[in-house]
Formats: sequence, structure tokens, C-alpha cells
Amino acid sequence: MLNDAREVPDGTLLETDVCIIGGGAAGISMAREWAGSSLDVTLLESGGLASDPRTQALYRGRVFGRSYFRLDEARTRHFGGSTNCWHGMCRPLDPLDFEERAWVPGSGWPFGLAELRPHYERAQRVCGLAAFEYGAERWTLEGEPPIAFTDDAIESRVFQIAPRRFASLYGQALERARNVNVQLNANLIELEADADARRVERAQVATLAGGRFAVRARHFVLATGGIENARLLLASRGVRSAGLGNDFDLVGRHFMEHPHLVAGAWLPSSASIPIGFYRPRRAGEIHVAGLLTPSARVQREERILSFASFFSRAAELPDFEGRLTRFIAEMDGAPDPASRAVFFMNEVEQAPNPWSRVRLTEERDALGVPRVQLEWRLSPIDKRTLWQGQRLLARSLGRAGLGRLQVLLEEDEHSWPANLGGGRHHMGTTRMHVDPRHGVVDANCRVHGVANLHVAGSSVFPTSGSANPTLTLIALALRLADHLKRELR
Amino acid sequence: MKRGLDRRALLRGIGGAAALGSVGSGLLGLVGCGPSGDLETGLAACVADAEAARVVGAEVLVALGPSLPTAAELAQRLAGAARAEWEDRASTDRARLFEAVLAQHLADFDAGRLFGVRGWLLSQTEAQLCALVARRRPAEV
Repeated sequence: MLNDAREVPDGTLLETDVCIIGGGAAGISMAREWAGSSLDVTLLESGGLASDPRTQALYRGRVFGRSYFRLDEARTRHFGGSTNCWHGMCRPLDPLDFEERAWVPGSGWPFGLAELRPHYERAQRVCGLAAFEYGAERWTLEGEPPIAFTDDAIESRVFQIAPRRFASLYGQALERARNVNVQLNANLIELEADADARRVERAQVATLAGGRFAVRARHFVLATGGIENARLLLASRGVRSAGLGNDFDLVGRHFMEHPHLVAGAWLPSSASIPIGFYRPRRAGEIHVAGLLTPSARVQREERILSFASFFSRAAELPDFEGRLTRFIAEMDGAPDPASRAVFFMNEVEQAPNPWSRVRLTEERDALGVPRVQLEWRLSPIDKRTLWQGQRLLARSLGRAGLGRLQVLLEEDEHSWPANLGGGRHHMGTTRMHVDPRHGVVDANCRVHGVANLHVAGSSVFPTSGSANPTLTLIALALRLADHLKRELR
Repeated sequence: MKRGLDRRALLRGIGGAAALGSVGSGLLGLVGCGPSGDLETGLAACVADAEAARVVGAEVLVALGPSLPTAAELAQRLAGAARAEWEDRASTDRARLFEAVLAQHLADFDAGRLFGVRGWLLSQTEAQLCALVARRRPAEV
């Protein structure tokens, strides 16, 4: 059922088995899991069926320090969430991303890829993707092979691309499900806990029309995005002044993005080196595009993070490069020097950094919820990964006689160029760890110390890898749904 | 050597000193074997497109700093401990000299011995080779 929360009488107490807060990729994926079952599910969505400036403005916040997108423009706040505007770039995390890496403080998930793999396969179907295959071999087209490196430092993989709008895709099914109550225009303003903060008793909900009501549930799932999940926990301070689940001052810390930067230009040794593998191309019902990423071996040896390099644009060669291309073609034994260079966009893993964080400010939004301040802080290893990664790419290309790479950034550990951007990927603010001193949620995404409060979304990622987060957060949400199904038996 | 010839294929075809004897002087002529070339001249002859190499080499020299190395010094840096062997190859067998240069160039990438020119990461060997060409008078190349 799709309902409008503005029609719920003031003071109503809705009773349900599971209350999911947030109708984006994670929330909708979870709600579908119960559609048609014997359990009652209530899904609270802040927005309606279309974008609304007043609702979107609830995201407003401050950005302190490193420049970042305006927070009210970084996510989409209506039914479907940011799947209303995403590009559908999907890729799973790599096995190494789950491991504890001695050179990455705070790394290590409570489980490995094998645990998440069956959920990834389900997430593929939810996203309307092809089979769970991301190796280059599977997606190689005749005449458009991946780059033939002669070492194993850099590997070719693919994105599967399917920008499905979840509200369009699944809205009707949720509307038909009599046991799923989707409340549109329903904003969580506080989670009210019992006296010991060991259980959430009620979710207090408000509408921009002035209505107020509450939801009581056996289990609550916070699925409002990487910044809002932290914000709502911090703002739920009726019992604990530091907020729910924040006994160890971890909520909001370890905010991670994927720094995005054009950091390298490739001058192929030959005009006839095929690069179509790396361009977005149709493959059945989806698109795929190749990318380059460092192997696990080289990440270990170089003590760097992961990154993904993909082609952005090509450019004609200026005078110097016009000579350089002739010389390189000669050295690499190519009969036809390239006439264009190809720029690499890099999407870099960011190491967990407790000083990169979301916190509340004194300012409040239209519903009285404190607004946030985002302080996005990068670490030396993030920068080193970027330039060391470009050097590795340069070495592999040169070694294979495939051309040379130009590094477009300073080789230091602190400075970042002005064109540094992000992917609007908000991760890590309610990180997962088995030990409550190191994580906000446990391996089942349950908030440590709060028996019936769970978090879905990329805010639970302890580390981010270099893969876009949506596929992984959906896999985790499906895994959480399975866990709750067992709990609710 | 004519520009555009696939030198890697050439080297594969040569396949070492034993094979060279049977390949004959035609290939040696392609790589500019002279009867008594010194190391510096032999190295410069490894580059067919001297104009392109000179432009790149000029930038390498800028990056090297104010104390400009001579062509002879650059030849010494390139050859390093293998100088005697390279000199021998330069005077008798420039195909094998180029083979050695190319092997060192590839080993540079393996070992991370890179040289930045306007941000382009070249192997140290190819960067020094370009600098050597740039330090020689055009008529000498």
C-alpha cells in the first residue's frame, strides 16, 4: 500500500513488525523481501513520488574544510531515493577489500566476500543486472580486447551499468502488497529508546504539513543514506545525550567518499590499440564498461588502497606530445603513432579516518532536526594511492610496449588538486565491527547495544574499496532482511 | 633504420648472436651499423626519428637541471657497468646494441626507474637516450 503520511491523524501510533526508515535502494530492496508475507512492514519515506524542494531542503547542511557538493544536492529525497538519479554503475567489492590490511588502519570486515556472494547474486537481480560476472574475459568483444599487459600489476574488470529507478521498478509491487505500508512524506525525527537505550520503542514521525505520529515496531531499520543515518542516530538523544549507538563516539566518524580525479593521461604507442573494451557499450539488457584496477598482489606490495581507472575523454596532441608520440611508437615498435591521448578518471578508495566525519550543528531543519556539518578529510595514503597507482599504470603500459602515462598531480601525500571531486558516495559513518569499541553496528548490521535497531546502507561499510557502493549496500540489505526474517520467526 | 619498422619483431627475428650471422648484413644495415662507431654514435643511431627524440631530449635536459651532461656522459650513464660490452656492440653490431638498450628500457619499467618529462613517465633509459640525441649536433645524429 502506498499511503500519504499527511493523512495520518496526529498522535496516531502505528504498530508493525518491521519499520524501515528510508525508501531508497536499501529500504525498497528490504521491503520487497516481505511483500506478501505474514509480517507487517512499514516503510517511512521522507519524500513523495516526485522531487519537492521543501523536502529536499531537509538535507541542507554545512560543509567544513575540503569543498564538497551541497548536501541538499548530493542525494535525492523522494521515493526511490538516489536511484532516481544514479548512473547505475555496479561492481562488487574485491576479496582483498574485506580483509584486514596492515597498512590500512581500521580495515577488515567481519566476514569475507564468500559470505556476501549469494546476496550479491540476489542484488544483481534486484538491480536488473546480468550474471554476477565482472572479469574481463566474460565481457570481451571480438576486436575489442582488454589491454594486454605483460605483468599482473593492473587488471581489467567491468562495471555492469543499469540505472534502474527503484520507485518505478518496484513501487507497484509494494503498492499491491497489503502487508507493506509505504508512508510517503513521513520524516523520522527521532528514535525513542527505553530507559537503558537497549531497545527502540518508537519512531517519531513528522510531516512538512505539520502532522506528528509514531511507529512502534519489533525491529527498526535505518536506511536513509550515509549522512542521514548518522544524523538521525546522533539526533536521537532522548536517553543518551550523545545519541543512540554512540557510546564510543563513533557515530558519524569515518565518513568516506570515493575521491574522483582525472589524474593521468595515456598516450598509446599505436593508433590501432583497441580501447573499445573500456567504453560503455550495450550488452543485452545492460551496458558494460571496462576499468583498470590494481591487483591484490600489488596493493599488498606497494601498501596502497584500491582504485579504479576508467577512460574519460580523448584529446588531440599538442606540439611536444606530437613528437613524443613518434618517439614512443618507435621505442614500442608501433608503425602508427597515436594522434590522441586518453584521460583516465580515477575513483579511489579512501582509508577510514576518524576525523572525516558528520556531526550535528545547532541549526535545525523545518522539522526541528539538527542539521549536519560534513568534514571530509583525506589521509596521506589516499593521495599516495592515487599517484603511486598512476606510476604502476605507467610501468605496466611501458613494460607492455603500449605507450606512456602522464601523471597530472603532485607526487606528495597531502596536496590535492582543485579538480578533486567525489562520487556522492557516502560511506562509513555507522561502520561495522564485531567490537563496539570499533564499530557502530555488528556483523548483522545491528546497532551495538540496541537489540532491535539495525542499519542498512553504505554507512555500515568499514572500508569502501573502489567499487561504487550501491550493489554492495543492496547485498547487505538483503542479508539483513534474511537475518531479521530469522529473528521474527 | 626506417621509422615505423617493428623493432621488437626485428629483435625477436634476430634471436641472438648466433642467428645474426645467418641474418646477415641487411638487418645490420637497417640499424645503422657502421664500421667503427663509438658508443655515443651507436646509441644515437638507435633512434630513427632523431627530430622527435631531440625535442623530447631537450625537455629531459631541462628536467636534469643546470649542469648539462655531455653526450659522452649520457652515454656513460646509459651503459653503466656494461660500458665495455656496449662499446663492443656499438662498433661491431648495433642491432645487438639496440637489443641491450631495449632490454634495459623494459627493465626500467619493471624496476620503477622512471623519469618524468612534463609529467610523462618515461623509462630512464629512453629519457637519457633522448637527452643524448639532443646533446649531439644534428649532423652527428
